[in-house]
Amino acid sequence: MDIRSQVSMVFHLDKCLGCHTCSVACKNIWTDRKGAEYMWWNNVETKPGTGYPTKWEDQGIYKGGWEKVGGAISLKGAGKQKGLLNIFHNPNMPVIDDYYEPYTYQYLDLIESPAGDDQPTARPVSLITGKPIDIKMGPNWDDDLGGSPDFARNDPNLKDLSPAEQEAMFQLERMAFFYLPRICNHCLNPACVASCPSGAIYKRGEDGVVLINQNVCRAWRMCVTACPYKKTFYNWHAGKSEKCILCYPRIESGQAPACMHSCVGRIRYLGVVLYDADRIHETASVAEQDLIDHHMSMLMDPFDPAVIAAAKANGIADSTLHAAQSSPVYKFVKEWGLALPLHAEFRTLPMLFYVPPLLPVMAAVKEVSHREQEGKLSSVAKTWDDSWLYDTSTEELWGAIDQARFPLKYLANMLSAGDEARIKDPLKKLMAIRIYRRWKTVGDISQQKALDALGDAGYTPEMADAIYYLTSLAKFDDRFVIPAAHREHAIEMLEYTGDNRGNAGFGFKAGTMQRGM
Amino acid sequence: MINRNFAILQHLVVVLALSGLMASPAAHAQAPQAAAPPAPAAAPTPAEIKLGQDLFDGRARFANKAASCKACHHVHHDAIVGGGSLSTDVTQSFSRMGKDGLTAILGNAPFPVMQAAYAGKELAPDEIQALVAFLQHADQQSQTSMRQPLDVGLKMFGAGAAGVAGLMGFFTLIGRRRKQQSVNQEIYDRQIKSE
Repeated sequence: MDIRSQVSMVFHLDKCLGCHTCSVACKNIWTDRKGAEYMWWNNVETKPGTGYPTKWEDQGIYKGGWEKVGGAISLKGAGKQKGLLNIFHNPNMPVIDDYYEPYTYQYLDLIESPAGDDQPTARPVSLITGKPIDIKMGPNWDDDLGGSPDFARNDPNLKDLSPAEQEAMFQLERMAFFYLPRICNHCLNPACVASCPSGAIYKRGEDGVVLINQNVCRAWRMCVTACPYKKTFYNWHAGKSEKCILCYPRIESGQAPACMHSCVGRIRYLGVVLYDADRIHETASVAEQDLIDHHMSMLMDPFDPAVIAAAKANGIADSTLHAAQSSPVYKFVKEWGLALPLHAEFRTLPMLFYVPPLLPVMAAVKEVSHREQEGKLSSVAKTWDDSWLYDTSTEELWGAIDQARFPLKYLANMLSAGDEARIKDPLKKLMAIRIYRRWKTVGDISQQKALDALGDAGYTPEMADAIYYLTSLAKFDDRFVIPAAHREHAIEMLEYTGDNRGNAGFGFKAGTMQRGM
Repeated sequence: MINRNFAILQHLVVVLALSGLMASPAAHAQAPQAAAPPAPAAAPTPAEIKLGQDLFDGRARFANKAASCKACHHVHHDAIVGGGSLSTDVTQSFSRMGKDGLTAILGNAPFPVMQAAYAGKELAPDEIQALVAFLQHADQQSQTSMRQPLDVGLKMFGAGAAGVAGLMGFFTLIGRRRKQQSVNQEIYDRQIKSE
C-alpha cells in the first residue's frame, strides 16, 4: 500500500446554474494574456452540446486518453512510437477553429471617430492577428441549447441512443439540459504526463496537482491531443503549453481555487482524498464496466488505522490526514456514493467527481387532457392547445427516473462509462434525499414513505441530514477543506535540504564551491 | 558548356603538342602550326608569379596606380578569393591568347571599358610580364588541379522533380489519417462573410 494524498474535487451538477462566473474568475486571473486568449482552463458547457473545443469527447477525432490493447493500456494517439512518428506534425491536433478565434471590438472607434454622417461602429478584431474578422465562433455558442441542430444534436454522448430517443430529447416540450463545468481533472493516470516527449509535465507529489514545467516544455503539444478532456492548451505567443494549475498558489496559502471561491451556485467542493498509488496501473487496465468500481476502491478510508500508518510512512502530515478525514469529497464520493468521474472510459482516473443532475431527470412529461378545464372557460378565453404536463409529483417513488425526459443512457455515457445501473444509483439516492426533505419541510408525503425511500437508497436519516447539510447549507469551510501546504516537506521531494537543517540563521542553498567561493 | 569543351580541346592540343615535342624532333616543327595559340613559353620564375599574383589581387600596387585586376576579373587560383564578376573569368586566358596575346592586351587593351579604366594609367612592362606569368601559372594549375563541375544538364532537374513527387507521395501516405479540417468547418462554411 503506497498511500498518497490528492486534492480532489466534487462538482454538484444539480446546483450549477450556468452563470460562467467560475470561467470569468479563472480567465481574469490566469488566461488574460497574449497567446492565452482562447484558453478557458475552466469552462461551463451545456449538455447536450458539443462543448469546448467542439466534440472534445469524440476520441475518434482527437485520439486522446488511453485505450486497452490486449491486456495493457497504451495512449491512443501518443506514446513512444506513435509520438516519435508524429513528433513534428501531430495528426490529431485541435486547431484554433476547433476552439474559436478570440476577438475583441474596436471600442475606441465609438468615441474617437471624427464627426460624420454615419454612426460609428466597433468592428470585431481578431486577438490573434489584430485584423478585423468575421466572428465565426465564440467560447459558448452552444450555451443553453443555442444552435441545437449543429451542437446539441452532435453531442458524442448521444451515440448509443436510438434515433427515436434522440428525437424525443429534442422535442420542444421535452427539451431539457444541464450544465457541465469542467476544469483539469488532475487525474491519477494522466495521459498528458505520459505523452510529453520532454518530460515537462508532472503530478505534484504532495497534492497531486498536474503541472507543466514552463522551463522544460518544448512545445511538442503531444499533451494537447493526449488529454482526452482537452484541458491542456498551447500558448502560441509563449511557445509553451499551459493548463489549469488548480490555483496552487492559492491552495498553498489556504485559499480555495478562484473558480471554486467565486462559484455562485456553491456547487464546488474541494478536499483531500487518500489513494493507493500501487494500484493505479492495475485499476486503469481493468475492463470498462469495472473501471469506476476499481477507481472508487482505490480511494482509501482516512479513518482506517492501516491506511493512516501507511500514509505516515509516506511522510503525509497529520494535518493533511486530518483534512482527509473531514474532506467533503470523500463523503460525496465514498461515504454517500453520490459522485462519479466524468468519462471513466478514457482511463485517466480523473479526480474530479460529478454529482449527476437530478433536475432534468426528476420531472416527467405526461400527456393530459385539458378538456374539463377548458369547459369552464368562456369561448373567448385563451386556452392551451397542447396537452403536455410537466409533472414533478412523487406519486411513484422511482417511476420518474425511468420515465425521465432525459434518457439515462445519455447520462450513463457521460458519467458511468455507459452503465445505466451505475448512474441510476446516485440519481435514486438524490431522489430519496429530496423525498425525505419534502416530508420534513412540505409535509405532503407520509413519514413512512420518506423513510422507505431512504431505506431503498441505503441511507439512514442521519446520513440524509448530513447530505442535506453539505448540499444546501454548507459554509465556506465545509465546502473547502484545504490542508496546509507543507512546502517545507514538499521541497524535499525535489532537493536535499539536510545541509541547512539544524543550522542557525540564514543558510545557503548551494555550497561554497557552487557559489564560486 | 562551350567554354569547357573549348578548354578540353585546348588541353588536348597542348598535351598533343607536348607529347609531340617529346616523341620526335620531327614533330617539333609541326606542332606550333597544329595548335591555334602559340606553344607555352618558358616557365616563369616563382618571383614573377608572386608579383603577378599580388598585382592581380591588389596586394601590390601598379606603378601608375591603375585598379587591380581583381576588381573586375576572377581567376581560379588557390590564392585568389572571390574576384569580380564584372568581366570575364581569366583562368584560361593564357591558353586562349598565349603569352604574346596577353602581353599585347595588357599593354593596350582592345576593350572600350578596359581602355577607359586604364587610360593614363598604363601598366609597366615588368608588371605585364609578372601578370602574364601569374596567369600562365593559374592556367596550368587549373588544368592540373582544378576540376570543372560535371554538367548534368536536365538530369539534375529531373532527379529533383522525381524526388519532390516521391516525397509528396510519401507524406500524403503518412498524413492520410490526419485530421483534415476543423470540426466546425461545416458550420463556418455556411456563415455569411462580410467581404
